[in-house]
Amino acid sequence: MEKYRHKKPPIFAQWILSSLLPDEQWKTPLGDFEEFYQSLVKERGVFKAKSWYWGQILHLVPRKIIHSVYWWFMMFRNTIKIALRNIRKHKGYSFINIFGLAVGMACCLLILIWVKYEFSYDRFHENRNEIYRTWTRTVYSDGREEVSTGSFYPLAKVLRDECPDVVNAIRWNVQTNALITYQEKRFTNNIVGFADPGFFKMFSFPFIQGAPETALYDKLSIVISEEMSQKYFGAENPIGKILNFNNQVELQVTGVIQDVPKNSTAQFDCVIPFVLSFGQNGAEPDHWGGNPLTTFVLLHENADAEDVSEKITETVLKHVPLPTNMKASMYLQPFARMHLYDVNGGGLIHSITIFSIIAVFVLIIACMNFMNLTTARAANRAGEVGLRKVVGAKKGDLIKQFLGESILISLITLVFAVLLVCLFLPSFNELLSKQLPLSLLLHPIIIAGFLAIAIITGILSGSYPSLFLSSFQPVKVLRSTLGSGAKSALLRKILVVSQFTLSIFLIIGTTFIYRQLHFIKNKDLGFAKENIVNFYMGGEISKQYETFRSELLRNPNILNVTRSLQHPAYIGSSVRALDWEGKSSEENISMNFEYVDYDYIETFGMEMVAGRSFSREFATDLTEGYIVNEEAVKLMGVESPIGKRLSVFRKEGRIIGVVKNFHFQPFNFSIQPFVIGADPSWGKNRMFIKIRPEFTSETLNYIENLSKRFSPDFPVLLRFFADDVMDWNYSTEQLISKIAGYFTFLAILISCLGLFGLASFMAEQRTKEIGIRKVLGASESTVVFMLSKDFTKWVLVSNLIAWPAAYFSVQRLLEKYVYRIHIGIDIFILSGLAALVIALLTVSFQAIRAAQADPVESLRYE
Amino acid sequence: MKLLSRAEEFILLAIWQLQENAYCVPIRSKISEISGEAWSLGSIYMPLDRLVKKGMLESYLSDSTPERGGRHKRIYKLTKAGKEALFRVKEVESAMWAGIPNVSFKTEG
Repeated sequence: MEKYRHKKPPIFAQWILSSLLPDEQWKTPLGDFEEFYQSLVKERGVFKAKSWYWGQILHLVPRKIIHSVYWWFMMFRNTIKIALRNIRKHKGYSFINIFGLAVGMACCLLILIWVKYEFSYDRFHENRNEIYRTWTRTVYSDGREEVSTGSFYPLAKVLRDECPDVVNAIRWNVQTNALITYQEKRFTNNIVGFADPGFFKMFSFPFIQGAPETALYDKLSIVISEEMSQKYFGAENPIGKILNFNNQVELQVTGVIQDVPKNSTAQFDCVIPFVLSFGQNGAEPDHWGGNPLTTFVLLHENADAEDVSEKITETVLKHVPLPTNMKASMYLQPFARMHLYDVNGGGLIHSITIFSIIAVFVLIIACMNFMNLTTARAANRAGEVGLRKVVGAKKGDLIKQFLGESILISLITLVFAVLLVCLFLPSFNELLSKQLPLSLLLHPIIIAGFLAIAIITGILSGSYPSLFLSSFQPVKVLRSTLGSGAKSALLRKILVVSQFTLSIFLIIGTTFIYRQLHFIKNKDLGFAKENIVNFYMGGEISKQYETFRSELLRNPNILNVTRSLQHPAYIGSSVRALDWEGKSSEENISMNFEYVDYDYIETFGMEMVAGRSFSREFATDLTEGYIVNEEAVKLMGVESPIGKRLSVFRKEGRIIGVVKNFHFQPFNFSIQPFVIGADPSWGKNRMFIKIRPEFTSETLNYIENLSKRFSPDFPVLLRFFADDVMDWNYSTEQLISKIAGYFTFLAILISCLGLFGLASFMAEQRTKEIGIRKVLGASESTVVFMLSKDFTKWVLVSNLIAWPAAYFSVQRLLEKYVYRIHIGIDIFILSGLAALVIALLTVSFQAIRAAQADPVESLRYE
Repeated sequence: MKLLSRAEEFILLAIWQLQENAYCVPIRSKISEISGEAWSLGSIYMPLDRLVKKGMLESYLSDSTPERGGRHKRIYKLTKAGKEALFRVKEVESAMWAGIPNVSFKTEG
């Protein structure tokens, strides 16, 4: 044996050769080669022999490859031909398949484009992975938690000076509708960003003129966008020109940047130094109160955000000592996550997930149609399968063929789906209020995603049919016609049941979302939100409020006018500096607060439980009067609150009235203790005007004209209060309900299409049976009943599966609302019934047609 | 029927000579030995296959030897059709030669 060991041909080469030979019978050349190799070894040495062997392999492999590619291509051409023939031969079924799949795919593609777009936010910043936003979590002794993304004026400086891991920290704030003037040109629709000088070094907004290193360092500088430069200066060179900001300061243009991309979280037309937010000579506040500004932090590349957060908390706590029964910590949120994630969980990612799930559901339902119709009609192709097998096709070849066919169909479908996407992208954009560009379709990732979806769809929908069809035994198939066997009937049941389970699940979910939204829209907030117009008072109107107000009230259609610090639909501010008669010293509680003017309670029609509202007849009301809500009275634990001493922000006063609880926050929150003051030192810039509903447009015109007279530079933006409530607090809910509605409709449509195809197929299969039954005396209704019976059973089973699943999901969905609708059984029953009715309508169309057919025709048919 | 090609003819003749031991390797060496040309294994396989398809050869598997790494030999055997084809080639060839004068002279003559 030893003798032969070194004479063996190379094992790897042998393996290649052996794997190229078809099967055991034809492996003899391996032996021939080896024998020849032995003789070569004897005659000319091992090396020569080896190189001969390898030479043979090198000679063989390329030929083999060309050969197999050629035959693969020939077979593929055949697959295509057969597939196209089948599509043409059964136009109805093909339409159902392709249309359903195209719609399902289009849903997925739209969502894919949208997700891609949302994920592209802020990707263009070079430092995106090192930039963070600070946020604060405060925990009170009563267990209440408060999360704020607002920051503190001195924070950025402290971080810069005292934290070694921080490369830079800057403050950022935005003012919309700012007035900027250049000679004769006055525009008020400017979005102005206030930023500390390092802004452009931290964020990558490409400069056209000027440089990020110098642009914002002068206190009186301004960096403008290309579009703004065009607006003010046209073709002139903007550098060095002087712009006037809010009639307050003169600013020199030091840089021009490219327009801010749509997918940037920070949107602005120009940026000016942050110190200007305190007026030209304003002193920077050094208090550590929460304020509407953001602090961005740039960390060293290898700094650990969590460690730094802890250090920041320590540093800040050195500057702001906290009461013992309250804990606050600061955190860093990665800037790249800001667009998608809220700091306390949730955020846009939530909607993205829900939509993606729904879109995938729609696609799965469409795939099931495909599987269903293909297996149901398997009998039609049994002959083909049998013949192919007889001619020599193996099971693997057939699986390849049918998979190839379904992938081919799904690629054809992809073309239609892309067309659908092009068609519906504008409407989709409107729904989302986004501007997803059509050009995103050409993005390599999107194209790859599209192809992946198409191929996965093809494999998914072709998997079972190909296994099923390829397992036919040729003898059986060719000897007699094959019935649509029991095995595929079971699968069909399962598929229809799952389709309807998904559809019913979606119906129930969407109905609950709609119901909750309806509930939100119509629930009594505790005050009247209808017929109230509101706007933000800029400059002049605010200064001449009293005159403006009396001018407004001259119009008989204007019922009441008031102003306040915040928007009563969403009050976020809270105060801890509270004291009252009988307050125990350990209590550290907080209340939400608001500062308002006379007529506030009256304008909103809030109800007073005790005492009175702010009144001009009592001179001290403005400075000393406080109104609290019922919840506050409960918290304070005083018997008769009227006249009791109360101090807010260390300002002494008395409670003059108790207002009935009303919702000043979205329904995700329960009603909190609330105190309303009237202190004139607070800037109350939000105006609310109660109008008569009869002459709305005239009244709106009147208000607009009046405001133009008072403040020509700042045209006001009138908004209906009720719209604000919905848009501010429930925009996500509105969006989800709309999109979920459309998708559910599509899901049902596709399911019904599939059912329709299946029903017509079954009616076709039973043509003879129906004919015989009718001859023997069955009435049309009996036949219709017979054909619909099965489908009814399936839909009922779907209900049983969908209900519990829907119940748990809806429960989770509604969890976040403190005020929510009851999950009643009625919606479940109604949704189930709706699905049943839709299914029956679909099926009965076919059933009635089959039942009405003349038995003579159907019996003669063979 | 078309005439055999030269390679086919040689292979059939080699197989006839080799009798019971007619498989690829000896067929090749027989032809190389007699003709003095180096024939590769690959150039034998294709005509062999073709001849089997034409029905001039039969093949069966036989025992192995250690030199072959324990693999079977595929032994070829001439069929009646194969022999007839050979005779026909020979006849045609002789007939063609018969028309040429001075056959005994060398070509340089």
